[in-house]
Amino acid sequence: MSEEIVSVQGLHHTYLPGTPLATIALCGTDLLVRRGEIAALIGPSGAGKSTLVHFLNGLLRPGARGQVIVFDQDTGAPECDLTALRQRVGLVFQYPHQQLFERYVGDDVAYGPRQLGLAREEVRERVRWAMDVAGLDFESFVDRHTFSLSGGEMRRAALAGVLAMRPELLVLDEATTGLDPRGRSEVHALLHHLREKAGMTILIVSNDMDEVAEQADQVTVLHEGRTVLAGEVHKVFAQRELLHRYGVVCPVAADIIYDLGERGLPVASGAITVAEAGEAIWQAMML
Amino acid sequence: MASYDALRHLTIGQYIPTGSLIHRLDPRAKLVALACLIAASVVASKYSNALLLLLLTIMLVKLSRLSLRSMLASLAPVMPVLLIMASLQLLFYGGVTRSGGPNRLLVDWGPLHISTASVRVIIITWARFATLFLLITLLTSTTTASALTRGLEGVLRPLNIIRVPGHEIAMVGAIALRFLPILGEQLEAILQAQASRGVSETRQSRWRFLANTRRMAQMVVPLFVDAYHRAEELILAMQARCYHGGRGRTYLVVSTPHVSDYLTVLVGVSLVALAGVLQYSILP
Amino acid sequence: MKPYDRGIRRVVTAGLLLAITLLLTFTNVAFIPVPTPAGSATIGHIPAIIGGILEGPFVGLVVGLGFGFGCFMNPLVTAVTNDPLVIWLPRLFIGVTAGWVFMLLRRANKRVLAVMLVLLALLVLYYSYQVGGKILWLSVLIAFLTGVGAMALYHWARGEDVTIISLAIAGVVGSLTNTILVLSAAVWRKVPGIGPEVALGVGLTQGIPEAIISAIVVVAVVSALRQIGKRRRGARL
Repeated sequence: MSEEIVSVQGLHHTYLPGTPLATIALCGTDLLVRRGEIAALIGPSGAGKSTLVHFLNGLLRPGARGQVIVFDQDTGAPECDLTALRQRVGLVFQYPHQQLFERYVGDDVAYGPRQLGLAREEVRERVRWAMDVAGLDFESFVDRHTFSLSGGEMRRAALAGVLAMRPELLVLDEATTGLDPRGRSEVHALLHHLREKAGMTILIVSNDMDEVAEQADQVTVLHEGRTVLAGEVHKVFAQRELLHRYGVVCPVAADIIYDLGERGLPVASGAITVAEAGEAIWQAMML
Repeated sequence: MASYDALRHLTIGQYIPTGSLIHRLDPRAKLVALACLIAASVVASKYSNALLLLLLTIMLVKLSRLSLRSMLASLAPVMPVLLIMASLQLLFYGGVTRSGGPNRLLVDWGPLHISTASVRVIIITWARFATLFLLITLLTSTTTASALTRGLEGVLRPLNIIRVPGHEIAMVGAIALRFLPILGEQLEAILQAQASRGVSETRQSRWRFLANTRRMAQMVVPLFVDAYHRAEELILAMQARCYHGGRGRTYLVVSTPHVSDYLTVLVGVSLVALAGVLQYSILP
Repeated sequence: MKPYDRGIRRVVTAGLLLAITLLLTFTNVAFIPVPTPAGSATIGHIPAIIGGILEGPFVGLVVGLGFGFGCFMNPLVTAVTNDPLVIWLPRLFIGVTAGWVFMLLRRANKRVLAVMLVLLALLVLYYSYQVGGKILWLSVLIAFLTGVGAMALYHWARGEDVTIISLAIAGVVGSLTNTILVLSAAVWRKVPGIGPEVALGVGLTQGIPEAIISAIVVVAVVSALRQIGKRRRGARL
């Protein structure tokens, strides 16, 4: 039983309460993330995924209803140290240019560590490591103007900036949406590297079911502000009717296996990734 | 910056359709009338005409079927400051007003000076303030943003004769209004992203001047960069559509003036005249 | 196609900068806490300055117009006075003066600038000598601050691009235009509560911090947009 680092229970949230523009974003959401796993949060647009994620590092704090416990800290409690929380929970947003603000790339990545008050050598070390892991060559990028970078380079710079804080939980809010396949696989490789080598726990918010099937161990499904399904990734994706009802598309591999099964091929159900599907088809053809 | 949501739903006087007479007026007429009323309000510095204008404004608000109470409610956040300023002005300003008139000292005790002139100045200033505030809120609540820019362009068109680029100015306004909510969302996202990286949220004390400035610069630079990129896209889009300014440009919505519109302008102009007359009359 | 392109560029830039101005002034984000009696300084005038610098005086004028409009809508301002000549008219010149100054100085010789700095310092010292006749400690203070300030500026300016220096100066000029013109207009139109001495006091206590803030922010923004400035090796990382 791994340690639970995120435990959200019964969370409610309304934007602009009491005004004519009030919108209910969350009405009874639960989320569980254990240390060392790669967890995914999925659901149709407007289901409340980004809202939920903003609770994890204290950008939003729970009101009367619901409880958010991150690293054993209740974020709703007034004495909760948000700065410390934000060092342990690194949140990467979808659009990198919203996160970058220093004139030079090196300074931007170094911002987090400097805020923590680290020594100059330590800061340099962290920046080097972070840029390395994120795929930006330290020497050539450290003195570049931040806003002269291409879109992909900016994304890596933003990621490096968060990594330099050495968070224990890395949350990626739609960080691969709009990326080409190569960019996406780079990010995936990065996630695994971070989990193995740096011991980070990862939470991805994604609309891409194939990505979730390939990368995640645990999945939580959100629908209109409520958690409707949660659990191990194979189990969740096996519930096809429920998922369709909630507006969630299944991974392509799972669809193929299902259709093949419907047409009479004796494939074992339950495959969700391309590799698993290939294996299942192979097995069925061998019979 | 705890309320990130508020930035997204910025309202400068939200348009509230009630179908009243004022809503249906041509925006050009409304703008001209507004200008007249503002002029009248500036001129008025006696009890009689300042209060008269205020009364008329309130009647206009009633006519538009909007809620007077909610208009005043939007002033609530700044009320305390306004009240403090009012009391300071009342207690310490002992000078003479521009329009002269009788000036009796009511209280003269140490640093406190209260004279009838200062009382008058205070009351008139506040009447003017209320009038102006209600007028502008009235305008923005009864006219949609696109109607406003159309109106502005229409009003500025005669100025083409003296080479004032009226269309371009109105277009600037239209673009600004169009991008205001978008940039608001951007700013909100920027603040969230920066807060997530440990940028301190709480307002620092005033003495850490340079730190505060750096903080502000950090917040503002991504906003400008984002706006700049959007500008580049928009420029390209307009070029691709062969936009060439106001000359020879036709419009989708053409508003023909009704009697009510001419009447509105007439009313506006006569109010200015009235204010002028009252100003130099013997009324207080 | 070609002839109107500059027009489009100006219109669009002005529009977006105006949007930023309105956003800043209406959400009260545009206030930085400063150690002055008023408690906060505004940055709402900065988009106008930037407009003047990037696209020229015309854009600066239009954004300044918009800034004036935004100020007009601000209850805190209209409670003091609602004279358009005081609130609106001065703002038009913010972008214009900043734009001109930038155009003039951007390719200037650094030595010319250094000479100008020295002249300015001498001017202030002369003024402080005048004041010294009445208030001795104040003149000494001014002289001291001027000396320190001038040396600090010179040291900084030596290492920086001329473009950046001219940006900073343009920022200061734009901000001062705002302060000086608005306060002068207030005194001229006899706004109740603002006499010449009050105006001078407010001008110094608000105007100087705002000018410094302008310089810093304008440099930060424009250098990011136009990628100006080279990193001095070994500076920080």
